Amino acid sequence: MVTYILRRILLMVPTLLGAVTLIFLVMRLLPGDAALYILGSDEASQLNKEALAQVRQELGLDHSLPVQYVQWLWGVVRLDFGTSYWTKQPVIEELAQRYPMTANLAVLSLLLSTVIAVPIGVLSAVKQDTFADYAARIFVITGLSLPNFWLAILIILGLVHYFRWLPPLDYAPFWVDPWLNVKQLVFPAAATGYRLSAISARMTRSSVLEVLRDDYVRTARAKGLHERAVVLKHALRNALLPVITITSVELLILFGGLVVVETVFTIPGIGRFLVDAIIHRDYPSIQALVFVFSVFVVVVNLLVDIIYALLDPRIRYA
Amino acid sequence: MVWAVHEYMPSFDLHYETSYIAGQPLGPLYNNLVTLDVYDGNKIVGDLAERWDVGDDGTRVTFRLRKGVKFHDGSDFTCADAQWSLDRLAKRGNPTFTSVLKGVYGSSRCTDDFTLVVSLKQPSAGFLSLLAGVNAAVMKRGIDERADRKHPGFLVGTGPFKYKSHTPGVDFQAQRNPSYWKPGLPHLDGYRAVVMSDLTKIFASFRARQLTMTGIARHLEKPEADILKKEFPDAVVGLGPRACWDNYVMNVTAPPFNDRRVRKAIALATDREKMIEIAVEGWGLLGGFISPYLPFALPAEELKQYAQYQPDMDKRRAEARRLLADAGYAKGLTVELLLRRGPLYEPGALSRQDDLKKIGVTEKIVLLDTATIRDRTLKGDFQTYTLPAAVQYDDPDVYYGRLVCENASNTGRYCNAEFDKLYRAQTETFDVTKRAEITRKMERILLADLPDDRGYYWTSSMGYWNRVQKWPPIAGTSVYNFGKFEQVWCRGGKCM
Repeated sequence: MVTYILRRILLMVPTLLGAVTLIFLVMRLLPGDAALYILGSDEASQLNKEALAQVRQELGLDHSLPVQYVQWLWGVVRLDFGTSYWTKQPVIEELAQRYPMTANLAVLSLLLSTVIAVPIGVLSAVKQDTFADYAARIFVITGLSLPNFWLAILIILGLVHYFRWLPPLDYAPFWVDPWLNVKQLVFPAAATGYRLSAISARMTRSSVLEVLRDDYVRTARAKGLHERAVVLKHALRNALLPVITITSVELLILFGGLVVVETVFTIPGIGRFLVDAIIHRDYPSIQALVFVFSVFVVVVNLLVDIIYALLDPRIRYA
Repeated sequence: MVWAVHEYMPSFDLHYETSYIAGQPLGPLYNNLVTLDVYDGNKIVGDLAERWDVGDDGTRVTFRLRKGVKFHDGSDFTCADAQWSLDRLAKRGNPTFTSVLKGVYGSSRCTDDFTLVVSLKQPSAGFLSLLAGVNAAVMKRGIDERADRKHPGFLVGTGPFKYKSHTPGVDFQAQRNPSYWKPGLPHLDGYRAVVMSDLTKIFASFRARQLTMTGIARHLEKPEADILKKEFPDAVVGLGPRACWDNYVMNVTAPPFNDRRVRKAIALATDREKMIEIAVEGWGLLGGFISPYLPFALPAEELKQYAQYQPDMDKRRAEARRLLADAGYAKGLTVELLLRRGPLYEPGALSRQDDLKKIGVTEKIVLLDTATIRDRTLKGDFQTYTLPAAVQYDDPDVYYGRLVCENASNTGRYCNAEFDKLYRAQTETFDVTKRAEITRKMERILLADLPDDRGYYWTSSMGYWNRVQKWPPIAGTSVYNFGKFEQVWCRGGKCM
């Protein structure tokens, strides 16, 4: 088991190296010039060639691509992602400032989706082909069909139209002001969490349906257990395993959704920062952000693999 | 005071950032030598200069500066700061608004701590206007050597507000300057410019009373104004002219637009009335090559005599097709249009694309982000592009400077010696009536040469709550010059 985990961890290195290289190359292929943004917002600034050359030198953009690549790689190893071209702050500081908001939103989305998905999925399975099941299925299919940015805009318009209210602009961490935190993030979390809850509810439904037909559930019923105990204690516990798996995969997709929802709701998280960094050709920030996302993906995959290995002893390297 | 800007400023350097996204949040941190009285028809009045005298030959301007003014860091303002700022602006400022200044500015010297003497290369009717705009801020001498212009340490001004905090891409906040040299001002405790890229979100936030105003002279569309009038009796809809226009720039150095007949065909085929309806839902003005509300523009009656402003579109299209055939494009032609991506820019371009199709001109639209379109247009790597163009100062120098041969902002590379001669003549003419005679001649040249085509002039529109008091009327450059919130206050201490 330990060997398996160690080998999986070692395999992360070439995966991350590949990701890092790809990020670096893609950024250099994009049209546009970061130096122009730094010099000023006006088109004519480009005519000042001396200043342009100086900025390029300061940014290291006058070096050859291989040199820039090695510099970037060496920085990654030391967790030094350089200074943002756009904000002139160390990228790691920018991430540290914005990451809590995104993590907060992601956790709330996940919580919200789970709280909604599991009861709906179970209800839908237990009451198969009834009105409740159909209603739950409509909820699920709608959730799968709606793009989260569109849902986010609908939520904003709905809140304004009916309540003349929107989530506050100021962010407060949960431990500082829980009520303000919830007020600010619950609707964005709903926008991102709806799709996630739809997927989880669908998986819960089919998984519970399958488990409910198993022999041990029939045995539990035959013993005279109350139906609630049969479903919650016996069926659900086993049925949730695939739900957890798919939730971990969806968590990765969730981060993509946060980029959009943060922009729509004006939440200063790393998703929105990524959008701004792209607009401003802020290579160090984009590279760092994509790297962080890559690490996140690789780590989540690793955790899933480890959980699989723990649950199923047959999974090992040959 | 909270309002929205659609993008975050690239840097804190007002001498370089031409966009309103920098001018609005940063302007109130500074004073200029002279400024615009936004409550009195944008008359030029003293700011850090108490008074000034223009020498007899018009090439020397002496500014008497205020004493007792302090920068936000507590240091005293002296002539050296004003001189340094003027030099920096002329030498290293952004060429779009400093190219005109560079043309007239010679040098400046301090005869004592509070007297600045500016020598001009030639008499300039627009010189004081150039100094009154938001970008001509007086900064602390040598500040660019002590602080990076993206660092808040750069923001040392003498203005009514001082820097409080910022989060790039999110917001910029300033607080009242308690040591402001104008006693009792400003009234507000501070302000916050919030970045909201989406117009729907801006209007929703305004309706939810998270914003005091949708934007300063911006970010309100006609249907939204209708909602405000109907559902929010305490909302005010501000409307006024705007020194900004739909600009269809043609590269006159290469085919097909090096042929004036082709350019004229484009102008004839463009249905401006339709474009105003489609792009700005009626909130636009027909105009020539200078904002139509200025005394320097041709009268509307004369403008409408030109073929491209005649109401009969069928006749215009027939003439356009004939011109194209004469130019060798009887079977039509295909051109590439570079278009800045964004909801503000696309509808007008699509309207024109539809018009041109009717005369056999097929436009292949290439949607580009700001950096790329900027890159290509300055290199001259385009056939045609469209971007809204704006000026920070309502002065003919700025409108026409960009069409002078070899001017840094002349991306279409138009060049006409007669036009340039008139340009120099008007800039030396102080009498408004006489100057207008010259600028009208210049406009007639442009209307014949057609270096670019102008769909319409924008209307400034904004929403704000009626708690806001002493908000100035909207003028052509209000989007940049709105009085630095100096006199604005909110009824009951609440702005929303």
